[in-house]
Amino acid sequence: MKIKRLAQISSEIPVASMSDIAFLLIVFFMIVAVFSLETGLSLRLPDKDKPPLKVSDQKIIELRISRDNSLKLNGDSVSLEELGDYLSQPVSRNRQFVAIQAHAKSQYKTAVLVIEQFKRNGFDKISLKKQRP
Amino acid sequence: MKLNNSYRIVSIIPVASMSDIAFLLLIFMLLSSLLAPSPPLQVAPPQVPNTAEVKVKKGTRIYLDSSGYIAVNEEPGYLKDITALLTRLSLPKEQVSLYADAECDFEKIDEVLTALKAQAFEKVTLICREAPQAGIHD
Repeated sequence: MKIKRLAQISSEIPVASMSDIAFLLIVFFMIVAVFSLETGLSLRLPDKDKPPLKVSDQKIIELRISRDNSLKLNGDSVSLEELGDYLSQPVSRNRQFVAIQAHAKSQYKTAVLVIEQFKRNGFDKISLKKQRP
Repeated sequence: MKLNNSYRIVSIIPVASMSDIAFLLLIFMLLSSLLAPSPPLQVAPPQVPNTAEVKVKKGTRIYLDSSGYIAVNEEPGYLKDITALLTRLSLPKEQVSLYADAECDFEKIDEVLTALKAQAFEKVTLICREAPQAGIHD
């Protein structure tokens, strides 16, 4: 009598579709992920142990932000556009330090727009403080 | 005379290592990407044109709204408690991202910056929203 052989059971796990699964996972992550890339203005904070820097008045551009968010550049009223024009002129290069004094109740938005104008025109030594009442 | 058979050229690209490559890519992406965290406080940072893009590192995030609520990373609180919050949470000092409402009073920002300076934080990034650019026909 002829004995029937049992069918051979394969002990391997089929991995042929593994790459398909992996690529599908990659595509899923790429579509779903929200990458964190934001815009902003970087400022370096002063060292708390260092004494404040003393600079002569001739080297300072003084900008005041008043309560109603209007600007005063070295004592003269200016708009944000006029500030940009002044900063792009070579004459402003004689003064390298910027002192921004903002009123306590002025808006943060105004301060950010002013800082952005200075940074855009290459000024990076910026002092930012609240006006004394 | 019997001629030598020329080698048979196989026209199949070996794809056995494809899954390894795909999984390596997947792991690389998972490790290197920084996903945007969901904000603990809803704030609307100021819109600024032409601001440089900043890659926000895994540093400290401070959220400040116009009514004086803050959140340091995920920890909520009031602005008056910021020093206590910064002291309690052991935070990386290199980089702070400040998400503040555009309409926030400057004194609140000043309070945050003063507290950060006192705690020896080094760099702060004022996070902004990109202002829509004016079109050619505008």
